[in-house]
Amino acid sequence: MEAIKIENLFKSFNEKEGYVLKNVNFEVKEGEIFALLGPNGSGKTTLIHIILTITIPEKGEVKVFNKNPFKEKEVLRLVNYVPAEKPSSDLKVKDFLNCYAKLYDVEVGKVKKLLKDFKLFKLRENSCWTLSTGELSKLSLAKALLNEPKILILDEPTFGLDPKTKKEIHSYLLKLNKKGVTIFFATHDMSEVEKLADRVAFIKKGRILNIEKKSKILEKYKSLEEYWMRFGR
Amino acid sequence: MKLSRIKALAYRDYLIFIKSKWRWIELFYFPITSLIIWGFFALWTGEFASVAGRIALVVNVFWSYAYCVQSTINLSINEDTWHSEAHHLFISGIGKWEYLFGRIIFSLIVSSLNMVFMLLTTHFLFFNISRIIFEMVVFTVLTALTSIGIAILTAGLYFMLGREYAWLSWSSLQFFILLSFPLSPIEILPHFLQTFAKFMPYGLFFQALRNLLIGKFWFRDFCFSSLVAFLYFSSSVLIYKLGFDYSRKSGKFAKMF
Repeated sequence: MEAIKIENLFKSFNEKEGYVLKNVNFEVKEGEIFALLGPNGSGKTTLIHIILTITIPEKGEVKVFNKNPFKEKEVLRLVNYVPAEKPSSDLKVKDFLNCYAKLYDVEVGKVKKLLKDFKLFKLRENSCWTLSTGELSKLSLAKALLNEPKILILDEPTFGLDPKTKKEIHSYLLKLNKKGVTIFFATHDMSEVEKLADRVAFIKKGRILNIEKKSKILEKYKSLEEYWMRFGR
Repeated sequence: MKLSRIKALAYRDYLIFIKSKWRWIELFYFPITSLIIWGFFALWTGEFASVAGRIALVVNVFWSYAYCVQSTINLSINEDTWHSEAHHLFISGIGKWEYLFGRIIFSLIVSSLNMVFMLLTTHFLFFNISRIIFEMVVFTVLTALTSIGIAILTAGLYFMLGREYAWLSWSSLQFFILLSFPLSPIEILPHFLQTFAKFMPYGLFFQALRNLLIGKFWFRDFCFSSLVAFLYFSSSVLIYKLGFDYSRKSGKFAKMF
């Protein structure tokens, strides 16, 4: 079954600039890790925002587990998102998560477990804005796991992180995927794609130029950098 | 619409409010200090123009209350943009009406505390309001309805225009209060302004309030004022819906948070 299916998707923000997404078609299979690669301004984040119903498309259809999230909003309860921007709330770390636990209607006890899993328990009384970038990334990921999503969408999940934190987040994502969580992420980071992805799509100027298994890409090209240069230049 | 989500959002606003010293300043320090300034003015004018002083004082109480109701709603929305949190909120499945109602509920709780404190201060420091306490409650309810309408309108415009219009949260109410002429009777205004003032959200409201304080018949103006408030409220709901949907189409919504 497809976790996410995008069909004939078009989006423009104004007539002058034309379409920022042009006839986008692809699917993300349940249980896979799917990477969306592309240069800055290629439409990756807009595409994610449309899947999450934050932005409304011009034409085309989005399906999440075969349901249209714009019409059946409840299907979004199976999805969660880690945006590129980190939360900078004035709230204490534990309160930040507690609020979302209430919004998702999940037991507050789950917050304690996630705080421990992400090594944030000692920081639970600190205000979110006092955390480091790495700690905020973990907090954002912990928040995204509160509702035990079946699909986790991440936008540049490890941008600006040191190698150790990056590794921790990667191994957490792989663990989640082993438990059956479908992962869809947008990135510029080739090493991230190499470590995580099963399949890769390349988007440029709003068009999907290539979708392929990572293993096939690595057979055809010397490296993912070369793949990038082939489509991204 | 789920009550649990609305409650969760109101709880979140409460936690943020507790931590935000500047919100305490906005919602308690400024109203109370200006109440005290006008209160002593009313005490002094009691010697030669007692009603004028009381009008200034009571108008100030309702003006502050209106600001408290409206700004609490809009500043909560602003804070979501400043802290990059609205994405997190909206993908939790929260809808545009739940998002708004959570804010309205919290605003009404905080503003009620603010109003109780202001009325008690007025009563014990400046003049006895026990004879008009029922009327004060009725006027408070109407102020809340009108100010929620202005807040919804402001939120709709904010979504429509983008985050550089966050200043509307501080200024929209002042604009309507100015054109409602809170301290002068509508009859003394130039003719073209009289009609205009009557259709401002607080125009007839303040007229009714002043009439109450000088012992004139106030109920007619109050009823018309309720009708005007209802019209503003209904139009604001429509503008909020249009603004929210437009924001999602134009991509402004995604960029705001």
